[in-house]
Amino acid sequence: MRRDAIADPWGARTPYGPGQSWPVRVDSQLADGLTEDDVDRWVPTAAVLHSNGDGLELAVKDGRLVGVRGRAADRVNHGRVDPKDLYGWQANASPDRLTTPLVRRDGRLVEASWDEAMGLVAGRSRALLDERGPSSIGFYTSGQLFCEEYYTLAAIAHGAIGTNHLDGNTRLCTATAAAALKETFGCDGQPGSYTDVDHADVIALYGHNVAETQSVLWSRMLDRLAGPNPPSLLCVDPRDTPVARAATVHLAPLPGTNLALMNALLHEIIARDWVDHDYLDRCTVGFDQLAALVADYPPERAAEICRIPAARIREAAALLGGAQRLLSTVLQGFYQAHQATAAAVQVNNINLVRGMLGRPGRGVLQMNGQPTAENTRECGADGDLTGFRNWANDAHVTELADLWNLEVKQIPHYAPPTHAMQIFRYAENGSLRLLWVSATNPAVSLPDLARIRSILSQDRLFLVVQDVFLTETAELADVVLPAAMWGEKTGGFTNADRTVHLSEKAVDPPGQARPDLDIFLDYARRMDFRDRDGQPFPPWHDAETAFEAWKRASAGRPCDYTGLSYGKLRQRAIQWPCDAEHPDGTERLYVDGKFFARPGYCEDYGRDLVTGGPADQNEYRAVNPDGKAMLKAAEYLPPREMPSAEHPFALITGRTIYQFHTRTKTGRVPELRDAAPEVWVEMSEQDAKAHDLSEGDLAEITTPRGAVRARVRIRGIRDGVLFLPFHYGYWGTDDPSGRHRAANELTITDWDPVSKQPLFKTAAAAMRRAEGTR
Amino acid sequence: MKIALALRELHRAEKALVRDLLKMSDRHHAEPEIHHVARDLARWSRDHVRALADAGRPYGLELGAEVAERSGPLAPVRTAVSELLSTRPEPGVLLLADLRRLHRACAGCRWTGNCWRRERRPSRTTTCWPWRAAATRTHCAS
Ligand code: SF4
Repeated sequence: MRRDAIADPWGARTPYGPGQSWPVRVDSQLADGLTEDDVDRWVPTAAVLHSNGDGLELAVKDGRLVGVRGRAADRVNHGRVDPKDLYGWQANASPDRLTTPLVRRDGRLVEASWDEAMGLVAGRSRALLDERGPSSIGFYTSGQLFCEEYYTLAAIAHGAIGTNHLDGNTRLCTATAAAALKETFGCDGQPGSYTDVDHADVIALYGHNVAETQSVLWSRMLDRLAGPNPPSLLCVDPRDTPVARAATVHLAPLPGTNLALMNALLHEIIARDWVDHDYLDRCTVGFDQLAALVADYPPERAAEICRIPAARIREAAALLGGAQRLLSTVLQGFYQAHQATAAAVQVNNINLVRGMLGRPGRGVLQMNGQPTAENTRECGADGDLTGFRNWANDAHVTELADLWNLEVKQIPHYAPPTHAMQIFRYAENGSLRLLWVSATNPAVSLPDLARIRSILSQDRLFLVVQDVFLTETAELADVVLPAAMWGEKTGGFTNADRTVHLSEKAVDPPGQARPDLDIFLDYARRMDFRDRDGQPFPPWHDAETAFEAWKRASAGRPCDYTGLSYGKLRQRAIQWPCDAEHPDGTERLYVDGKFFARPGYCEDYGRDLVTGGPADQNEYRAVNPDGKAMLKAAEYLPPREMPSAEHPFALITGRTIYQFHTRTKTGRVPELRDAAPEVWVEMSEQDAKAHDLSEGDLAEITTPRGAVRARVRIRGIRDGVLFLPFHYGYWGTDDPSGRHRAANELTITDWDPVSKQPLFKTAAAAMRRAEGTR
Repeated sequence: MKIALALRELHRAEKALVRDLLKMSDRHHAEPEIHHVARDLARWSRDHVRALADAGRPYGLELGAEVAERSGPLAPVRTAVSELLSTRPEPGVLLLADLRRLHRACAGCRWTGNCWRRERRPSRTTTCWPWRAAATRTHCAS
């Protein structure tokens, strides 16, 4: 079905009732004037512009992409296509794709051959390894490559080079999801499934504007809401989002107070004994400590901190406490705030305390923001070790060394893998001298941009940028490597509910652009990395051999891929773990109350939720010898930057349905670009009035770090809170006034102590009308 | 009177620790994690000082309940030096030495945290010192 997905992002309703199968609705979009009869072939893939993992097919005609349609049989989307995906494929054919390597000569980027560019990268790497050692080299990758590519990068960084400095931009979007799962379940791994939406009677969305971030999943919820016996929704969000408007109870806490609210919800649930004591006894440890901590958080106390009525908190708790089938979902509103992990862990705790896990409709979905963020996590390209291995467990490191046939001492495990913000800090203090950025744009997406620009522009830092467009980051690079995009290469691709898709090559990349996998492997060959037997490392040479190698690396781990193959994935998408015992995959984890949390098996020994200090194996074993789920909790602390007289507003940044990340793709697609062409600022009517601002006026928002100018949109949002979308960087603008567009000019260099996810939801800001601009 | 003596000593050590933590925070202003976490820890230590002051009263001890919230008149200088050196590697060595010293100082303040408030705040994650000393562990490697 063709539809105007800009005007109507979620499309027509197909109502259904609890326990029924979500009806199919196939969306499609073809280039003007074409019909399905004109299409030469349809090539299966999955959605690349968000984390939902919708199954799609790309239409190819005469060697070019000409459209897209949803896969009716796909378990994730039942045929539906998100508005970004309906139009986004056009970005592949943008005239300004990078088609040849570039190298910096006399201060300018000029075209070069692959040989020349890679020769420079390998030469500098060699010299640094000789002079300064592995820690002088770091990699910052993405949540948008394929599983084979992350696995290869992890093998090169942690194995061949032996540097601890490898992370993904997933640090900005999904680090807290992983951290919260590790704290509660001892290991990463999404407990729930999207099919829980089909069964739930209460869906609680915490800082998760699913309507815009995962529009197809929201369609599924809307269809439940339109059907018989609809679920009740609880929405926690300071903004009046589509989810908030559909919710039975909407809580709009002041930014930076989520944990106080969560502690109060748990307080009520426990005080009223809406507790599954049998489940708690069998499956968890730590209930007494949890109960004692939340005893200090009666709703009245949270009401004061969060500035919402205590009665509303009680209503929310009653909704959660009365649920028969409770599905909880969490995203950036919680993850990008201070005390992110502690708040997200409390969501896990609610489901555990209520015994709501591992059954249809009873689940937790700690979401992520990017299409393949899950692969970054499981392959170990994100500050974890490959296959959810525990860096602090010597046996796990030895296993990995044997798998790679490398010496154990080659794999750094004296400390956790370095997180992204710390990698940039090392680049700033000069201990890191080569930074290789793939498929991400930190010059727009990281917080405190003036600082990031100064780090990336240093002469002593050799910056390699591998991407499909000349991004703001690529403009600062010493070497730019042109990469193939989704649709131009083949690889595995796992979404937020563990569904693995195969994304196949549909068309050739433009010019000399090459798949990221080929670039990484080319680097390994030029560096002449060898294993213990003197054989080239990594030993694989293309996507399918890399996938087979990754399967072996995942064997016996929670994210077991051994039962999958390219052949099998061509038939249908499957959820991991998939092994000989579970050839059809696994819909829900923890159905039997068994966890991946035994001390010898778990991925992580946990951290102190307030300081982030890691525990060791003995401490973990003492608390959780039998590998149960752990109920952890922490006291609420106010954010480090609080609104003040000088900066009276709480500033939050976020996304919109029509754009993705820094708009490198969506900004090059006419329909999406025009749907949201310019940065804006949302504020309440009262705040606008108090500052003599009306809809469309230009406002200037400042924090101690910078200023941004944006058009005013008056919306339902808490008084005292400003919202800025973070997509807008500087390409395509001639901003004569300097750097006044990117929301991250304003954000703070600070992060959650446990997940190390930067804070994008708590900064104190001032706002005024920009001069002469009515 | 052994308890009174012990309390007095703990109170002295804890107050010194608050100052050390604040100094640490200022000296490493360019290291966000050190800067912030040291201040978080200092706030707890101030709580402990108050708890110790309360605990001392029944033993006739007049222990001060308040500690300064700044590391002293040189605080701005420390911060400025840290910022000036933010692009240089040398403070890394200094950091390592500071962390070691702090770790020893923390050990000297054991038995102050939970023991006094065990019934009310039994969560090890928030008040136990050995647990907290672990917070300094993360940063030693680079
Ligand atoms: S180990 Fe922790 S709880 Fe036990 S006495 Fe020391 S500070 Fe108190």
